[in-house]
Amino acid sequence: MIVTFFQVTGLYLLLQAEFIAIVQVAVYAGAIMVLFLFVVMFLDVKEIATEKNFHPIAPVCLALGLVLLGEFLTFIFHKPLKESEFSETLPAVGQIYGTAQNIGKALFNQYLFPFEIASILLLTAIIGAVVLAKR
Amino acid sequence: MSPVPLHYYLVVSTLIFFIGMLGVLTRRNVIIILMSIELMLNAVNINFVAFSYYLNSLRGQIFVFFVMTVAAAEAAVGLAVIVYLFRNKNTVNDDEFSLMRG
Repeated sequence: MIVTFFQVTGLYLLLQAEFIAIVQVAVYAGAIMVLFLFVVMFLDVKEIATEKNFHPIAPVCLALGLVLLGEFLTFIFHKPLKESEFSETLPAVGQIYGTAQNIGKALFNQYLFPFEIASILLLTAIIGAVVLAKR
Repeated sequence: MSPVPLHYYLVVSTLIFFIGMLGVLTRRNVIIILMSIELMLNAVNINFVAFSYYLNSLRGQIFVFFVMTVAAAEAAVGLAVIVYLFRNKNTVNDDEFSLMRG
C-alpha cells in the first residue's frame, strides 16, 4: 500500500502537481500508514492469518464489480469524449504549475473559509480519537 | 512530445477505485476495510489532479488538499474506533461486531 502511495506521488509529479505530491508522501505514506502500523502492532491480533480473509459473498461482489468497472471504462472511452478531442479544445495544457506558491496564493485568498473549516475538522478529529482511545 | 492523454489517468483512477471498492465489500478484517477506503480516496485524488492539469485550473489541486485532510482525520477516528472495538470484542472480524439478532 505504501508502494501504491509512492507511485501515486509519481503520477502527481507527472501532472506538475508538486505540492500535492509532497503532501501525499507526507500525509498518506508518512502519517496514515504509520498510524495503521501503530494500530496493527498495538492490537496484537493473533488470528489474522488463520481466519478466512474474504467474505463468503466475495465472488458475487467481484462479478458485479467487474460489470460496473466495464461500464465505467465504456463511459471513459465513449465516442463524444474522443470526438471533442479534449486536449485540443484547450490548447495550453499544463500551464498552471502546481507549486506551493501558486497553491498558497489560491488557498489563502480564495479558499480561506474551507481552510479554516478544515482546521476545525482536524481539531474535532483529534479530540474524538483521543476520547475514543482512552481507557 | 504530446502530453499523456486524459483517458489514461481516468482509467488508472477507475481501476484503483474499483480495487478499493471490492476490498471494502469483500474483506472481513476491518483494518483492511479502512485501508481500502483510503485507496478509494486516493483514486479520487488522482482524478481531481488529472482534471486540474487538463483544465488549467488550480481548483482540482485545492480540493485534493482538502480531501487529504478529511482522509487523514477519518483514518485517525476510524482507527480509534477499531481500537475501542477490539478492546471490547477482542477480534477484528467484522461479522462479530453485529449486535443485531437473526
